[in-house]
Amino acid sequence: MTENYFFEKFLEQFEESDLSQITIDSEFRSIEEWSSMMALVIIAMVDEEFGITITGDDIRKSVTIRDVYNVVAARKTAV
Amino acid sequence: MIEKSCYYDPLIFSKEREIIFDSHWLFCGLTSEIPGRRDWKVIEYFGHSLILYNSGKSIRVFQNVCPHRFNKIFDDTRGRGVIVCGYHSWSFSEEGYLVGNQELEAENDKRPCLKEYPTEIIGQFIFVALKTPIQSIQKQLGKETVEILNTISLRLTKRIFEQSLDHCCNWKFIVENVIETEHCLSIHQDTLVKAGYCQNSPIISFDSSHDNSSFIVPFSNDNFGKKRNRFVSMLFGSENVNSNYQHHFIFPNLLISNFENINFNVSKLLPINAERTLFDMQFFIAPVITNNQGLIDEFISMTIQFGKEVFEEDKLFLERVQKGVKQIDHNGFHYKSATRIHKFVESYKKWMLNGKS
Ligand code: FES
Ligand SMILES: [Fe+2]
Repeated sequence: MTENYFFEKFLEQFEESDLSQITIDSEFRSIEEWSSMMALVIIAMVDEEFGITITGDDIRKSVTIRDVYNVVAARKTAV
Repeated sequence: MIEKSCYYDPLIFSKEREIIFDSHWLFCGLTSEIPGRRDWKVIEYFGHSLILYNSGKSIRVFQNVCPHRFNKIFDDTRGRGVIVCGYHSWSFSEEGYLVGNQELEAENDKRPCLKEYPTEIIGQFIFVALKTPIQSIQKQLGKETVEILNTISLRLTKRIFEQSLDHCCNWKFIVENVIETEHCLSIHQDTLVKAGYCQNSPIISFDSSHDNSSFIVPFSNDNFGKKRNRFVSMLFGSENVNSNYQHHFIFPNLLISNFENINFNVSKLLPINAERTLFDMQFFIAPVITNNQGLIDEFISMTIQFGKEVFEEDKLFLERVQKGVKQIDHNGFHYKSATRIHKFVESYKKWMLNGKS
């Protein structure tokens, strides 16, 4: 899993927002479309794409997209 | 239209209790709340404290009052164990008979036992009759409702939340609120509407020989819905998901919301007086097919949050309505489209006038 691939998959979950200014270090809550339901979408995506379980708390503690990536990456190497 | 005093007059309230609640089978709990032998649960209906008891062979409903000197037997709401009264330690068998050989005054030739109420079970739904029921449970509910209860029972596998929310309003205001969708666009904008549950018109159903009613609101498959499908199908399997929100009102006081066949609210209204009602609710989710505990837990917490918000949104208005009804000098209006309310009004009047179906 590369950082870029994760970032790409993360952004794919959003359909209605202008993502041109978003980088992996952006705060994902600043994406207009973000809602509590998006946490579930991200958790499902991480399972489907990377076979990793992350929790709602992991997302709540994260600020940027990279923070989420780091959780996934750490869990991936731990497996 | 229901005459406005019916929403606050204590005399009418006692009449309702006698005519409607005492003559109907009343929903009092689910078998899954007392799954094991000697599990019990206490509920209060109009000052009757009831013990729902799993005897190992059947579910029984006893009066929660000791026949000796009338002590309340169980003080907690739930537990497991033998029925023992704390005052003089009389203990009762699973069938409600007094155990032991206490010597009693001769004038009592009968051995004391707990008062037992007639009970019927449909799927997981336990119904009790506070007085002698005037018709069979099948006749009261009707074939369709029996089928709905049986089907839903199979999906109520995991209880995720329960609470009793005290509402300072008449029980009928709550019924009227939950059986119409006209208020959703105004007050549930951030919850039901945003989640796509109330964007379409409801398809309403009821039949002329029973007092129950239902609606189905087809789910909006906008972007929000599509996003939802991604985790919903991972959690429950897309073949198990219905794209709609269904609501059932089972006269006089059982309410069931079925969200996409994956999460459910089962509620009963416990009227306390003409202006106060306990809204007793339980949330469930259907069986999950994933092992991803992070996803399951987050879905559960979102579902609980969502449900609580919806109930709070309604409660605020219901309590204002209760204050308003006493000030106004007419009986108000209903939307023509709110046919479930018309049906309820008709049933209510029929019972209050004739005392029979
Ligand atoms: S009142 Fe219950 S044992 Fe005496
Ligand atoms: Fe509502």
